[in-house]
Amino acid sequence: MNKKLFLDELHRLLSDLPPEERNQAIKYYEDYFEDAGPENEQAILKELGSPQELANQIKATTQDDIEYGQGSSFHRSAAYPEFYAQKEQSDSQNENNSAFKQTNDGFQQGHQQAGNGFNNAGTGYRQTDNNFNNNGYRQTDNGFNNNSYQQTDNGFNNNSYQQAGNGFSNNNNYKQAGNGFSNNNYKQAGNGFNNNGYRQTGNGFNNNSYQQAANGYNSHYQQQSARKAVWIVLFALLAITIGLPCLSVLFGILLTIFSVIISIVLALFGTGGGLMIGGIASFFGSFFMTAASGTGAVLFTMGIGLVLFAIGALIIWIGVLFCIRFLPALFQASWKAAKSVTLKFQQWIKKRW
Amino acid sequence: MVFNTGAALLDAIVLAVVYREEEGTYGYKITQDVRAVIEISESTLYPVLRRLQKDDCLEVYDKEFHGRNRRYYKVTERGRCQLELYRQEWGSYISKINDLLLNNK
Repeated sequence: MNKKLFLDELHRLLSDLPPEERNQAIKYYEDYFEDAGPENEQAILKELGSPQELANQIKATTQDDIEYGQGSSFHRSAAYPEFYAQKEQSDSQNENNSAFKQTNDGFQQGHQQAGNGFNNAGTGYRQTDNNFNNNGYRQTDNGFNNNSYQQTDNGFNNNSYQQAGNGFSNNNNYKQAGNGFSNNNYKQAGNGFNNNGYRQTGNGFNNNSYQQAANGYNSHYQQQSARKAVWIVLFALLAITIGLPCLSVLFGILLTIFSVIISIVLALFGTGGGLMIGGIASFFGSFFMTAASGTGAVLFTMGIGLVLFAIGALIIWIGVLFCIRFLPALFQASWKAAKSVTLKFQQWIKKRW
Repeated sequence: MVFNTGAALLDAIVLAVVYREEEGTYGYKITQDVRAVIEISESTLYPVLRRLQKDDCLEVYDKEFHGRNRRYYKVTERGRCQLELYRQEWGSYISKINDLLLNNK
């Protein structure tokens, strides 16, 4: 018997199956022989039994709801004929010679050696060290309830797919949690607690933001308070550097105006007063003039004195008028101007705030 | 082999073996991996794979390998759920039996 003959015969025997079923079955066993390699061909042929047996098995399971009975999944006579032959002879000896492997201190015959392991059922693939309830496929170091696929170092309740380093309750996550507790996110939480964010938290607590919180607590999405602070500082700076000089200039101007006004007033009164005094002096001086000066001279001097006096009085009258009428008006005008400027300034500030 | 492997347990074992490979694995390899755990005949696996495929626990795809098309089996989402169920069932089943067989002298 060789592979080709076997498959040809199998193909013939499956002819009453739907073509799809038949082709799938044939392909499966063709691949099987290919993958096993030519060196294993005879061993496989022996295992498979006759084409008839295999065809029956395939046809039986292409029906629905097939129940495997006792031992029907195990091809006894083909695999271990010697054991079963021997057993039939030794029934009277009551010898349990269906053991295939030697156990060392093993309570249950597993396929691996159990070293101090309890509950090492034969379905374990690996050796357990001091393990309890090892249902995993990998070795657990001091692992309890390890349902994961990867090794846990001191992991408890690790249902994750990645390694949990000192993790507790590390559920549903796909990445490593370094000292993480309740890590439900997709990125690594370095010392993070309750990290529901999508970014890494460095020592963050309750970080629900989308940006990295470095030692942050409840970090916001923007730093809005900073904006206002910047504006305040800018404004103060401007006010000082620009405002002060302006104010000084204004003050200087005001001073000048005052000085001018004062000097005008003084000049008016001074001139007027001086003229009046000069006039009086001339008038009365004329009386002291000798007859030798001549009547004309005396009258002239008298006249000049009167004129000077009059001019002086006039100037003083102008000065008085200036003080009474002009100055108040000037004061009122400048006061109004100052008020309006201040008002406008207040409005402008209100707008900015 | 003292204890027989029933259909459900066989399904669980095959699903678990295939699930180990993220991208799926092929028939011969599956058989070798399962035989590392329990003694079964090489003719046993095909019906199991076929049934799991019909129950939507496994999906197949072909991939080129050395000039021929090799058929790969991969666990579906439903298969993954089924496997998880098997795991839990097995856990409680085996712990009770262990209690009885291993602890009672």
